[in-house]
Order: sequence, then C-alpha cells, then structure tokens
Amino acid sequence: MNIKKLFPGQQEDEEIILVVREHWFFMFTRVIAWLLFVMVLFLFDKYAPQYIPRLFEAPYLNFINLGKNIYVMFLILGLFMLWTIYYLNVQIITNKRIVDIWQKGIFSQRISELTLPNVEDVTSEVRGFWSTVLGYGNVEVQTAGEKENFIFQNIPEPREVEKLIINQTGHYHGPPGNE
Amino acid sequence: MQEFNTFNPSTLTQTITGFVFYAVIILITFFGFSTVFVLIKNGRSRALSFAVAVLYLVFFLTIAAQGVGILNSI
Repeated sequence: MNIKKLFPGQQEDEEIILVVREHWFFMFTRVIAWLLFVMVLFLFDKYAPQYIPRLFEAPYLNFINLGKNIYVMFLILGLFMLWTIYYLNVQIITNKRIVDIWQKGIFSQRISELTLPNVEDVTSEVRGFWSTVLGYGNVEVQTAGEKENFIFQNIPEPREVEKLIINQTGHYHGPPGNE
Repeated sequence: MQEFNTFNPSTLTQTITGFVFYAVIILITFFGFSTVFVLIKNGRSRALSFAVAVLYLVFFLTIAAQGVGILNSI
C-alpha cells in the first residue's frame, strides 16, 4: 500500500494504525438513488412510445436518441464522481495523530489534523435501526482547548475505533483512570 | 476497422444541435477529466484509481462517439 501517497504529511516514524471511511451502506444508498435515474431511461423507452408515438418517428427520433445519449453521459459521470468522492473521504489514525480528509466535492477538500496529546475524550454512538443492524455509527473526539471536535460520521465499527483511539492516547495520557 | 465519426453540419438544425451537443460534451469532459485528475492525485491506490479512471473514459468516449454518429443522422 502506498501509504505516503495517502497521507502526504506523514512523518518518518509515524505509523498508520487505521484508515476508515464511511460505511459502504451510504455508498449503496447513493447507488440506489443513481439507479432510479437509470430507471427513468428504461421507463421512458417502455412507456413513451405508447403515449407519445410521434416522438419516435422521423425527424424527432434522432433528437430523442441524442437526448438519451447525453443523459447516459451525465449518468456515468455522476456515478464516477459519487464513487470518487466516497473513495477520497478518509480518516486516518496514526500513532501520533488523527487526520480527517474530507473531500466535499471534486474541487473542495479539507484536511484536519489532531495530535493525540490533544485528545480529551472519545465518544462512540450507534443510533437507529440500520446503524445497529449494519454496525455503523459516529465517533466524536473531543479536543483540549478551543479546537473543533473531530466527528467521524457513519463509520463502520465505531466502538472498535473509539477503543483504538483511547488506546493510542493512553500512550500520552497514561492508562485510563490515571488522570 | 471502424472509422471515427466526424461531424459536418449541412443544415441550420444540425448546426444548432451540434453546438448544443458539443457544449454539453465540453462540460462533461471538464468535470470528467477533473475527477480523473483528483482521483489519481489523491487516491490511496494508484492502480485502482487508474483502473476506475480508464473504465470511465472508455464508457465516456464510446457514448460520445455514438452521439456524434446520431448527430450526423439528424
């Protein structure tokens, strides 16, 4: 794995412990929404000739085909962009810090870093039917001072991630209960 | 060997349709290639990024070529 590419500011003695991204269920729901747009095309092909038969005769047929062609290009671009944004949104936990790479859009990326000594408290939350069944949830990392809290939304196995962060911060704060 | 379609408008309708079609193509190309660039630049696995980008480009170019073919028959 090309780790340095994933995490450009990585120090030489910094070890990546975990890389998480949003649970697959959320990508799945987006793909379902995308499939609804694909279905529009099939429904159009099935029902439009019955209700608007003139559209499927010359000279309109070629315009309809061209419109469908453009629609398909947008559909493929949409799926490609959805997957890219999903793939580039990652949270990285190393033995020194937590890095949150938030790809908001194709031209918008935000990278936040939090060093482990600044971690005050970690909370995991699993709420709702699908969260419980599929095992995803949020992890909130509270920080010292006025820094913004880190929230990992809809990640798989939030309790494991919470434990992992607590274990990692234990190297700086000492074992839990010693503070 | 299959020849590439080229678009030579002969009527006003073809010219206007062609203009709209190519404007859309330019828009989609801009966003598509930008996404390819961002994916390859920031993606964790370069091999996966390349594979997905190539897959997208093959689909896009095939459909765009089909579009030019349809444009000629208008």
